[in-house]
Amino acid sequence: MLDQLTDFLYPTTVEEAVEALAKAGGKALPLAGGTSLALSRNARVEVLVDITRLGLDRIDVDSDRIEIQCCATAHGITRSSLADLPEAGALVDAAQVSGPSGVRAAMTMGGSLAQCYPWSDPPVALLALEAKVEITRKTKRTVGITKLLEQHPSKALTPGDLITAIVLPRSGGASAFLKQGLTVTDDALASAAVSIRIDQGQEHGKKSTRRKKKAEAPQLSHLRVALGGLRPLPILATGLEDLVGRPMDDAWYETLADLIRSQVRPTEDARAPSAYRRTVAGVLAKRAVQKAVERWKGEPTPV
Amino acid sequence: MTNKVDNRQAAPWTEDWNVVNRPVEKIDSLGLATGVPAFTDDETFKDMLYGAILTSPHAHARIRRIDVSKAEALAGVHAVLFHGNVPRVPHTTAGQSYPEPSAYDTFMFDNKVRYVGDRVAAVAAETPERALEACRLIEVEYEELEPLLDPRRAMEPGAPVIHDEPDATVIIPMDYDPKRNLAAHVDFEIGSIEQGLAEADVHLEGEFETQYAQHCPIEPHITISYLDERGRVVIRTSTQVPFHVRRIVAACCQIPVGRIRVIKPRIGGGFGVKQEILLEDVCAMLTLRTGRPVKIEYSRSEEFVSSRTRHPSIIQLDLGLKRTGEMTAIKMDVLLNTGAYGSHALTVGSNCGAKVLPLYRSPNVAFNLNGVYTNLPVGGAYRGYGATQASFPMECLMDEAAEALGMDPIDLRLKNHITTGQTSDVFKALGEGRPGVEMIIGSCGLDECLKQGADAISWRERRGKPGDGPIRRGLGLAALMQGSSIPEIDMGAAFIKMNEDGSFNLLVGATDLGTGSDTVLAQIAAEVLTVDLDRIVVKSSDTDITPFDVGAYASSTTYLSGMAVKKAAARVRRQILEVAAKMKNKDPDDLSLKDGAVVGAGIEVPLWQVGTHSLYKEDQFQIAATASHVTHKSPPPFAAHFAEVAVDTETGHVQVVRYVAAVDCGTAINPQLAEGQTEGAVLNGISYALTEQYLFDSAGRMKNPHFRDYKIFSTVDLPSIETILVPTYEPTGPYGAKSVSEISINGPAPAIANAIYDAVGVRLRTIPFTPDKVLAAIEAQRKSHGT
Amino acid sequence: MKLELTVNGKPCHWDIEPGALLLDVLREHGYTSVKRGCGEGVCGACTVLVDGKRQNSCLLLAGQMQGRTITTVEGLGTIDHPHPIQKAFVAAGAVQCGFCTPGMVLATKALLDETPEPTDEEIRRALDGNLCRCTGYVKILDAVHISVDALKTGGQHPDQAGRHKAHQAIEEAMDQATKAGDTP
Repeated sequence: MLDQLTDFLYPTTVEEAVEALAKAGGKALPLAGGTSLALSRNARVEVLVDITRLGLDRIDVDSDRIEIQCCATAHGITRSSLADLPEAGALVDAAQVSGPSGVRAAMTMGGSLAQCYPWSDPPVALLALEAKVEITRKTKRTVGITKLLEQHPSKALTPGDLITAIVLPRSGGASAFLKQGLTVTDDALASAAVSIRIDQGQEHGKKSTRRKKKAEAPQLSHLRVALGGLRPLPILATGLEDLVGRPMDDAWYETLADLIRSQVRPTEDARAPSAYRRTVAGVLAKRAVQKAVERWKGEPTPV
Repeated sequence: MTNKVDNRQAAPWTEDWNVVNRPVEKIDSLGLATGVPAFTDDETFKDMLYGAILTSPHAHARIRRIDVSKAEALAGVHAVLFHGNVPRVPHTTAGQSYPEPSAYDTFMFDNKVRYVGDRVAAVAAETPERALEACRLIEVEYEELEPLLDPRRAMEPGAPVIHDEPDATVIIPMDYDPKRNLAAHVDFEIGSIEQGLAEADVHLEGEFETQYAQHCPIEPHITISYLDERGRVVIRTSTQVPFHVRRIVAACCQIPVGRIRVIKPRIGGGFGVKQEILLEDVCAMLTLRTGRPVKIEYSRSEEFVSSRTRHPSIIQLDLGLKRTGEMTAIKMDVLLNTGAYGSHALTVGSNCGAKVLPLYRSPNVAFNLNGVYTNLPVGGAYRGYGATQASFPMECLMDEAAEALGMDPIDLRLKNHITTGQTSDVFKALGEGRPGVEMIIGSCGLDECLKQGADAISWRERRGKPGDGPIRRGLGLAALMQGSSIPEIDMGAAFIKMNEDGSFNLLVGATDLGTGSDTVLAQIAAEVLTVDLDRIVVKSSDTDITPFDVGAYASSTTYLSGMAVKKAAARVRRQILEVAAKMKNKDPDDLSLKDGAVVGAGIEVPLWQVGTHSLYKEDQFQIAATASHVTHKSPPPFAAHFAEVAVDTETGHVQVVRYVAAVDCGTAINPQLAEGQTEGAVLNGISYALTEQYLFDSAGRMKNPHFRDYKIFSTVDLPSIETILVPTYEPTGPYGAKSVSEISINGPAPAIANAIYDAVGVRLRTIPFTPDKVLAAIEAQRKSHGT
Repeated sequence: MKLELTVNGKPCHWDIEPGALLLDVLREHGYTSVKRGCGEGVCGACTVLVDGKRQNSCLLLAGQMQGRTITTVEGLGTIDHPHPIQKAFVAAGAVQCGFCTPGMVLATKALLDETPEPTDEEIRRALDGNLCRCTGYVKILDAVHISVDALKTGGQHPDQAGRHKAHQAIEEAMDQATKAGDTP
């Protein structure tokens, strides 16, 4: 029970919403899917601002950007046109396994990022995808995801701030997300999201050229790996530059796995030893790249 | 590959039957699917109070001082119970037949707490929040005692004594030594193990461990109690054992059995955890103190911590075999952790032997059980009941034995398993708190289970072909037996009366907890009385209305209560024939029932005419009969389970890909329900084998008492499960039926362990096979092979 | 606070505590088919449809329902006039204890409204938030397949064609997944 809660507000425009949030200061919270608030026993919140009536649940794919509005749900992501877009694959993968279906139906992308629990899957994908986060107060500002996740997003957001959209640049590449839990929708013991671009001097997207590419060992022009389930916040893997532009043979993948393993220091999780989670993080990163490559080639990727 | 088996195909001997062995719809399912109020909490009571239980934060402590005055003074609080204001009645929470074979080591409240989650006090208040607030106001001063968290240490000299109270006792002759933390002990030796092992060409041995697990009924425990118009206590409760609830609450609250009525509504799953009196005594006492309706329900985390669990075990098993595959010795040594109280310790422990050892013939068999107390959550009845724990070592070691002998594991089982016409000295040696009952097997379809199951999973083609690459495939099997009821202890009774329209009321004490037993029992009555199923109106488990039944446990309902129904229906049939004979001036011996009418001797009298005549026309009387049944056997159902797994050698993740369960349950009274029992048990067994476990901190506190981090399987984790019902005819069961509900939970752990070995060559001896454990085993093997 | 909403087609005006959970409020108002299984959004026994979409009512504050339309399983059909999905659950033998059934039925409804002919994979994903400990889900998946067929033929139940479809589809999916080295 939220003991101090006295009021619900139901704004219908972003302006009304941010104004209401600003007015109440730290005593108000925006509320969308509500996957965690009801259980939080948050004793400070006095006003809840229901932001599900602002019409902010669209997912738009343009030629230069993908805009995901804050109230788009995990379930909505999996049913959107992103599901057919190799470059957004990581986010779709993450949305598909972000808890049981009842939670995925409620969980919004904005909420998932604002709360950013250690087990939240979408932020890991968004970090790999170099998302830009649009925060609205009286005016809009945009913060890069890497910057936003330097500390817990709740620290970067001041009372009155509302995440209104998440923007992904069109990369023309492919991405994928994998996690290891005890069950398919379990909280991650470790997870990895990767975003890649493949450089073979050929245009991406045409079926005929894709078939040709299949035979050749691809090389990456871009590789970005984010890891989840290991630390309180998603982490961005570093030191992968040498892998870009090199043939992706077995040794390449083992090098990637080793690089990942050597740089993660998992926090304690009673469910599995840290050493195991470190090992698996490397395996997941490797396999996520494989999955992304297949996705880029147009291979059916079982999820 | 698809399900090739049609379990709806009737066995030849069932040709003349119309309702039994037919997949009729479960009689309560439409109501449940449309959401009619049916469960304990679906009814509201005026002026109801809400109960809450304060539990111990310490694993082992003495309560030096407890002050409830602030809680009592809180507005809206109507009663506070603690050890200082309730009767001190030693009892067991185990819902077993009197005299129970579990130690009387529990009190409604005590001045000592023995595990984190143990009861300290209880409150009844106007709202649930107020009740919780009152719990927080109870001041308790604990003197912390050294906790005993390792069952291996329990009997060591100098170990903390958990039950040092002088009044803990047992009421049957059994080995009980609380000063050594020994809650239960049994041992026997048939023949000579020493000689058996000396004669053996191969000797396999190993220590195996099984873990704490919870039943996870989707409905946690809930009880509502209130006073009826005569001041009697009515207990509406989610229980498998209404008549044991009545008896044990009467003892705890010190009121006569006749002052208590227990009503079992629909139950949201039990699996054994509701064969336990956990909330009823406190709820009834709060109603007696306040005169008002009181409701107590467990939250999910209380269900995990404070209700009951599967007893963890450490089992040392030795097998001796001749080169020919004949067995010369089986020796099983069980250390059973019963937690803070001895509920079901003796019987679960005994069944480790009784439901596993007789499966294979051996002239030399030894068994030793020590059930020990620890300051950890309490063990209880859980589907499988000891057979789950002990099938794991037995079936794993049989797999190792087959390998050592160069035999196919199927052939080794075929060579050694008990079958029709044979007996085992173990039946005699191990009972439930008393010596067992001799038994000759009357039906066994295990050969056929092994053959059909092997065909279904393509055993001979696919086994031993793990493939290469990071994901390896493997096949494994387990052979199983269980029992059907507890012979000469369990009793079930039924009452049937006829109405003027030719319908019947069937009243049974048997407790449908979602299994479909109301439907199965109605099918049996309908078959005898030759009517459609909808002419049988079933009422189950209301201690004021229905006859006695021990309840839903020990795989007894179809076999035991079903026979009571069959007998009662036969008596009613006789009365019907007599009335019709009198009506038409015929000899009843010339008449019979057919399609809802009395026929023969040139007459045909529909049942409604017989019913109307008997109630309204002449020599009026109620056509009705009651019958009770006690069994002298516990005929085992048999099963062969086959698992195909995919083991990820880089992450250690084990995926069960296919699972085939071939089950001999005698005649399946309702094949669809028998399949449902099998499928449910199998999936529960699979997640028990792969993910389910209690994680404790160093102070004995469970760290994962939530569905978030205690993982049971959902639809996305589900493998293909194929059920093959292998029909046999059990002469002592109703229409040839044996039990089906428990056996199939025992198979997955050993079948998966054996399949993992087939895939990657590592033997796992500790459940669950979590990915970290599997990967560690694979890496250890790589190192030892120097690769 | 005042809450106006529609439940099973009926306009409701309720006075509620602002912090009250939807699950509690619905049960207090007699919608007892909405069950509490875990209270933490994992088991799905408390599933309701909110504007046609499945939600866990144990995670929602009742206040979020202002102006919304809620369907519970009581609103789908009755014993006399059951919905084809409810009939399918009965025919498939998908109801054992029945505690998870209302949530399962509603999750199926939400799925089939959105995707009238789902793949087996889509069915399994749609129901992964509804835990059942009795059935092993085999007959629940059968029930969804039967529902699809029944809804296609206008609520008729031609046969139990859904039976075995689930087995086949799961096997194929598993085969594919494990071959690709992509076990979850």
